[in-house]
Amino acid sequence: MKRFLQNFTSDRIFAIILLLASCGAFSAALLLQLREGGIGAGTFPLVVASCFLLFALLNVVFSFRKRIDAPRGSLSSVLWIGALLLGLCAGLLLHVPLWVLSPVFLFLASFVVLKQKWLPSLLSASVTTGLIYLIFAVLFRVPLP
Amino acid sequence: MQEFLGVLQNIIRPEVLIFAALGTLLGVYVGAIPGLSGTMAVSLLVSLTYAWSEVPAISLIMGVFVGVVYGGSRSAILLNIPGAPAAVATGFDGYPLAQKGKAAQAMGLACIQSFIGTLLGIFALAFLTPQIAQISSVFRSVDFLLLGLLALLLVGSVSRGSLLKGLLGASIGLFLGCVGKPSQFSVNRFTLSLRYLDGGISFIVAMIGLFGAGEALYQLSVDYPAVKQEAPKRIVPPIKTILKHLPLTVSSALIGIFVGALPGAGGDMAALLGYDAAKRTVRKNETPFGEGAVEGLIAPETANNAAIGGALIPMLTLGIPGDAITAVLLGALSMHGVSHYSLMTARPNLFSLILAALVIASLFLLLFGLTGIRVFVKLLKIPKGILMPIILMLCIVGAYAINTNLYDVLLMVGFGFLGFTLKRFQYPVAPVVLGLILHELLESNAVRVIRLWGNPEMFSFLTPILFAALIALPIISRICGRKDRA
Amino acid sequence: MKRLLALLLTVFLLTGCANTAVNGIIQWGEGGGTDKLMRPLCSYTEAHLDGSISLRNMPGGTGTVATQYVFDKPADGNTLLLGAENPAMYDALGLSDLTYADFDCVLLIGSETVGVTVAADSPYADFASLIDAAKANPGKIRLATTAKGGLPWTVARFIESVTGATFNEIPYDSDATAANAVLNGECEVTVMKLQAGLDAAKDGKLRYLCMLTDTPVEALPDVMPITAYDSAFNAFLPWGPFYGVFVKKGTDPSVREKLTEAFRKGFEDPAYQKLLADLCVDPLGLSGDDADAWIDAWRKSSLSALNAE
Repeated sequence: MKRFLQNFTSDRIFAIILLLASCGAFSAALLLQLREGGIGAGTFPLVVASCFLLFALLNVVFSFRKRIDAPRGSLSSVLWIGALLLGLCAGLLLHVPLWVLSPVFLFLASFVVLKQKWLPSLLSASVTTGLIYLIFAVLFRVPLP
Repeated sequence: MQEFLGVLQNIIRPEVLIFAALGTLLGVYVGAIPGLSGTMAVSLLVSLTYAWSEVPAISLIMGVFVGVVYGGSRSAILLNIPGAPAAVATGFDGYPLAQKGKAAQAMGLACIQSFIGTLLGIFALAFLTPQIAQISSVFRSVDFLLLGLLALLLVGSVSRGSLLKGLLGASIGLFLGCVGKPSQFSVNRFTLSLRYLDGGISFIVAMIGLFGAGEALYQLSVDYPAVKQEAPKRIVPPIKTILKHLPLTVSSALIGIFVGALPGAGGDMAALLGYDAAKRTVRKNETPFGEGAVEGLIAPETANNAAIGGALIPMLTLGIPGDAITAVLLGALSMHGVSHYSLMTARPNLFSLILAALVIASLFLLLFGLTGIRVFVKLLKIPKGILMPIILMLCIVGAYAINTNLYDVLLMVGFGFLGFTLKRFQYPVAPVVLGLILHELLESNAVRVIRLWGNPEMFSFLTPILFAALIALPIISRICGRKDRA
Repeated sequence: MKRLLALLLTVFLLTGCANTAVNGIIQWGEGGGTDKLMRPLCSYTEAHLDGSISLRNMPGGTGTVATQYVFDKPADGNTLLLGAENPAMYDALGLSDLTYADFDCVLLIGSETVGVTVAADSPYADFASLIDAAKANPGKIRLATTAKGGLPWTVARFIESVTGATFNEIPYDSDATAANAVLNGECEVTVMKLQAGLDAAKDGKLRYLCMLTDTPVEALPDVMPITAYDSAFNAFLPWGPFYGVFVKKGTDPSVREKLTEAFRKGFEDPAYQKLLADLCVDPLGLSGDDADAWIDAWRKSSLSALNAE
């Protein structure tokens, strides 16, 4: 049992996720084709989704034959950065202005998560935010959030 | 002869000089910033120039076009993040070169090749436009379909590693391209009732996410020791090297010009096709493709810049854009009263202005492209923990700036996570983008072909050639591949 | 460090001082027919408005993406829909629940004349022979269209309802690609705006078989009006793509008035009028109830063709 569970290394899990996604895509495309009928909006998606399903299936089979080892490195910092990114998006959606979110994100990412020294982190946070405003708000005149 | 004089006259006009130079400078540097796509830069600049008069506006736009195509390759080489769609193929061998410490030489070579490619493209635009336009307007829907299928064959080329994973990626990309309202039917497909997706998934947002944010996240997850960059005395490659690869340069430029000249195909397709052709035809390369082969850098960089001249041909003669950038340009020129139809005949001055601006831009490309390389290489010394969050922030702003739409940012982040996961498990990312790029070409032409079936006029004299190529190409590469292994 | 802070402060101040602009959302892509009219108009209008007009193209879904976007914004006159004729028919075509009935017209700019075109070497000498051939071979003659609700599609519906002729409709991505299909022979016929086809017609590359009008058009006096073929077409005329500036219904009348005044001044600028003439757009310059009545009449024409299908 343990060996069975061990077999589900992350790359195989991802292959399975892709397979599930392809099943979803295929059913959506099939429904669309049945609804539209003939050579219509659903035809091409159905062809593509069928290929997607086929390749995803083969991929799962092959992934269980040969294992891909994840490269050496730390996953946890990336997960935290990912969480920070989501927080940044949430902030943008809640209309927190960018000149607040940008330095906060940059500082937290560099200093807290990636364990850089505080001074370079602070500098990069402020200089980058300033440059962003310079390039976009002033040069390109894009209204930033 | 008169045109030649016209071009010369325009070249020495200070307005044209200044604005073309300025545009090139902007293009090179904005294009080099990861997360800020070249297309975004062009469209933002274009809306600014609307109120200007014709001459400075067009000069600036041409400069930016030229600059951006090269600039995008800088971040592709340094960070494996293409700054413009046309730079997608540059990183394949450019980044491995940088990883071997040769970033400066790679950028120098890319600059020289871009310069040569641009000039060859300008040559085609100046002298061969009527002929090329005639050929490209002959293309029927079935020809485009065959071309799209040929391009899909590229998947094999860009799926370094597993072909199956590449095909999987391409089908994901093709399926994602189906999201939204297709141009030919009035049904909303797979939008999950989200209004935002009615317009479909923007390929630029996907690119920024997959290549930009995804790469940044991936680099944070791996522990590669920092590569010490060489500090060569000269960045410009020796003449010997350039001459040695001249045949490849010319053939890549031809591919670039022709692919660019096809309505609906632009720098990105040209670069990929050029890279693929090089991979299939170059035999005695010192380094294998994908590991830092010089040929793998020369081909796409020449092709994508030659495609500038090529893409302007259908844009100026048929009013049909080649890629995202030329689509924006078409709008810009239209805003300045340039109707594509009568450009060559009724407004020859404008045509020579465009040519002159392009020539100046390519000269300044050499200047701005070669300077600042050492500074850029120093950027690599910035610790990843500082650089990658900055890149992520730039991707966020870059995605937002395209349409000032927050949902683009969310989508970009989603693609970033996808890109990270794909890279982590060694799935090639380029096929996903290829699928997104090719979707419209394949589907809309397939529908037309089906509706046209039975009419002899649906075929052109090119159709049998393309069909033969489609069948022959995989067979030829199989044979060549076997010869290599023998 | 102090210099850095000063620089940052300046940047923040600069951005804070950017004045609020009115947002103009253009329904179609850059350089298209709508865009070519709206951008110059807005630049002439800005002079009469305090503040600027910030323009953005939002193509997609035959204009539904932009229409929905403006509708979702508050009705405060800060977001304008710069649209073509498509929203008038959205509900009938099943493209969207919104129509121009959900908007108030600030200014109705003008309308365009369109005509049926074939390649120069086409076997159809005139409109009558085209219709005869189409009736003899129903669903076979290749008509290049631009999807449901587009210009060639709608005119094909008119033709079908009056003559009963049907075509093999091949959808293309844009007016330009549809025109190209006719020029290279992949399709036999299409419908083009006068503005788009005039140069090619004068050069002899394509021929207008008829114009969708009841009198000959100044620019091409030899081309017959469609009513000469069958006066039943009169029921649909006047008809042609039109363009206008709209705000969401429920916008404060005084705000709307101010916008109308400014846009009218921009519209009446002689340079803009010349642009309209160059683009073969018939100027209308209507607003308020007059504009609503015009659009209603237009909608009725289009609906009657659809219902007869």
